[in-house]
Amino acid sequence: MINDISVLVIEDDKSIQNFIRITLKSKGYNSVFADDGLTGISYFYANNPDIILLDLGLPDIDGMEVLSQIRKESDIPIIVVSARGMEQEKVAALDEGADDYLTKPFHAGELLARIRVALRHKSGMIKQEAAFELDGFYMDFEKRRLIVRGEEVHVTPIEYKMLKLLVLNAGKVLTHHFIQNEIWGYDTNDDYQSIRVFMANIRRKIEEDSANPRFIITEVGVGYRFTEN
Amino acid sequence: MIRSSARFIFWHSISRSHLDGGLKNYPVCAMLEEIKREGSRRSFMEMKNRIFTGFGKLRSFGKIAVIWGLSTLFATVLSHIGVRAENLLLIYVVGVILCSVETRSMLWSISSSIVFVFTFNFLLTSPRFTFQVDDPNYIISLLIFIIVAFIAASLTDKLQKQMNLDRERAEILLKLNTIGSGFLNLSGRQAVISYSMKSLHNLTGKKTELLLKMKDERFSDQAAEWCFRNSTVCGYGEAQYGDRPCLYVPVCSLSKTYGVIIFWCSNGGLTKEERMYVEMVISQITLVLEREQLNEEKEESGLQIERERLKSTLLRSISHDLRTPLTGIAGNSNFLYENYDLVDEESAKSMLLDISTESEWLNSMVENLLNMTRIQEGKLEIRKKREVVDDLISGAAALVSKRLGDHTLKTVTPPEIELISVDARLFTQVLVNLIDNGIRHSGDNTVITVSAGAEGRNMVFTVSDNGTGIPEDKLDHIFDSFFTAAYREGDRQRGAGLGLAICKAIVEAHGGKITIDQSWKKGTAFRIEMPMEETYDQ
Repeated sequence: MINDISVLVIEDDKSIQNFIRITLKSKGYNSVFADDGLTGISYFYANNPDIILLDLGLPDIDGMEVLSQIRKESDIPIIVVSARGMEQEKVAALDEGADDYLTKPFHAGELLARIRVALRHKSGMIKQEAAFELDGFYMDFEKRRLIVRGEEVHVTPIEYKMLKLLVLNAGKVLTHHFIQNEIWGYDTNDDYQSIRVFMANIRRKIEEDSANPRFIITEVGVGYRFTEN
Repeated sequence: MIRSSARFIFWHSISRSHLDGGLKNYPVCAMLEEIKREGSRRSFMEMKNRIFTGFGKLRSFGKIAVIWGLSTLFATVLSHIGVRAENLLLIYVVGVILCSVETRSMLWSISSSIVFVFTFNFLLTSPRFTFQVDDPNYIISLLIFIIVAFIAASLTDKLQKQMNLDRERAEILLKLNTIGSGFLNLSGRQAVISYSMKSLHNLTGKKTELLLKMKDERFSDQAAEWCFRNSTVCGYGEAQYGDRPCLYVPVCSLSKTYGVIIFWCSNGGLTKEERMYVEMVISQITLVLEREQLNEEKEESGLQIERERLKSTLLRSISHDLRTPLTGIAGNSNFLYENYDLVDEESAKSMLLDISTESEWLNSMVENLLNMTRIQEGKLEIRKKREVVDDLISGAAALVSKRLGDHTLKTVTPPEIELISVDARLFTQVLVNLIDNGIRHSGDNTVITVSAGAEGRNMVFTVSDNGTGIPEDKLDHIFDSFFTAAYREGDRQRGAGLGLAICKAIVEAHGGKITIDQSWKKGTAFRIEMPMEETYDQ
């Protein structure tokens, strides 16, 4: 299977490059590899890829630098890769314009899912549907109703807004900062405590087991993600 | 000589009336009562002091009067018997000496001698009952009498002063002795400082302050800094900084200066004697400070040794922890590579699964080890944030999901949405480690449960399983660093005891407590108590 999507991978470790190459090939993506940041930037200009995979721990320049350089020019979907425990780095990248992230070590499935979601959101293929449905979760945007596992669920206006935001971005991670700004319009300095509590309330309403959520995944230290499948 | 009669009559009349009244003088008692009723203790004390001084004067006067009376009586009696005037005069000499001894100031002795002389003159020399003398010899005797009286008075005065001085000295030596023995029992810099200041205040009556030099910071007081640097006294009355209201004395031993003592000289400087005593106390202070320093150094080197020991144990443990999963990964992958065509699908899949699982292990292990080295350096970077308990549990569940194998993970969340202040990453690792412990050690097919609920002011997390429990003898050491609870036979001892030791370190760094629930019957249950602020109300 071949598609005409080309992925620019900016990553210095050879074995990871290999792994990514094989994974991408299995789904028919083309891939171009850059070993460091500067090469990556020049490949971006030269090859006009569809999506970029950017490792934040590059040998020559700061990954954030590469991110901001590319973002200045283009809206191209960018997925950042960073080590576990570097949550602040990921959040900073996301707030700087990255679309999603992967934590090393990651699985092939995660990689492909992220790429798929990022491409979908950027390609403009998503227009506002009238409703969203997934595995017993049904959200009707026109009628402003929510039905989960056959029963109507009542949510407060803010909860509705939050849920809608997550659902419209299904599959994509949303940082606390992003949610805060979208829902309230201004930033806060309470450590996003209120978002956490709102989210926990929403979860309790729609999840069967809130410690084992099916729909809303907490990305610890980063934000939230609504599953797409 | 003529006026002396009037004076004599005056003195005589006063002495008589006061002798009759004595201490039970009514007006005085009434005064005391009134003051007591007012309830003002201070003015009461002042009054008391003044009265006692008054009484003191009265007592001295009374004594002199008594002595005068007795001497006169005795002399008169003897003169009637026929004893000559010269001897009678000597009786008065004795009287004067007694007066000197019995009274405080020279004034009494001098004035009593004058009185005695004139009494003698009046009563016992011819012509009697006059202040005149027939025999000019008597004038010489009287003069000599006065001179003797004067000398006696000054001698006794000096004697008393000397006695007072000795008494004061004895008091101070006693104080110094007490101070000295007090120093023996001190420990801790703060104790030394407050004890020294108290003792020096006791000794000198002046407000004192002790400044000890820590590291290299300069004293804010310039004079104190100068005193320290030059190890010389300065301040009030000295060459340097003489205009200051305080005296600065350096605290120094032969080899080192430790600090500066500041004396507030609002009521004068230190006498030479006081300086000597202060030096004695200073030498005590320096001894104690040196002792403290040596103690600190000993403790530090003790800690250093402990750290080295832990480091080497850690290295041994890391080696073990990493090699075990690596053996699986290396072995399986290598085998598959070399024998790709020969392996059947099922075996290949199972090996690949093992490689996948082992690498998950390794991931978790690396996280633990990173945390452990951070703790080893003496600090654990905790970044606390208010996190939802549900999120913490689900986070941990997500991380272990791939290595559950044949185990089942159950979760129980608190009925209300609860928040606790934790470092999410670290606390999640605690739960992960405990779940891993269950996976490793509880046997096959067990159910591992993670639950959380509020209990009073704490949020209590429980991670339990229904498998084989921990043997009794291993219970005590379970949280010890690097202890391996290998209570299932075989090579199931993964990860040494690092996981549990880290749990303990992280929980305790948050101010929480982790224990084994001894009442859990079948299997093992770990109990974590985390301090909780009030729940978030919406």
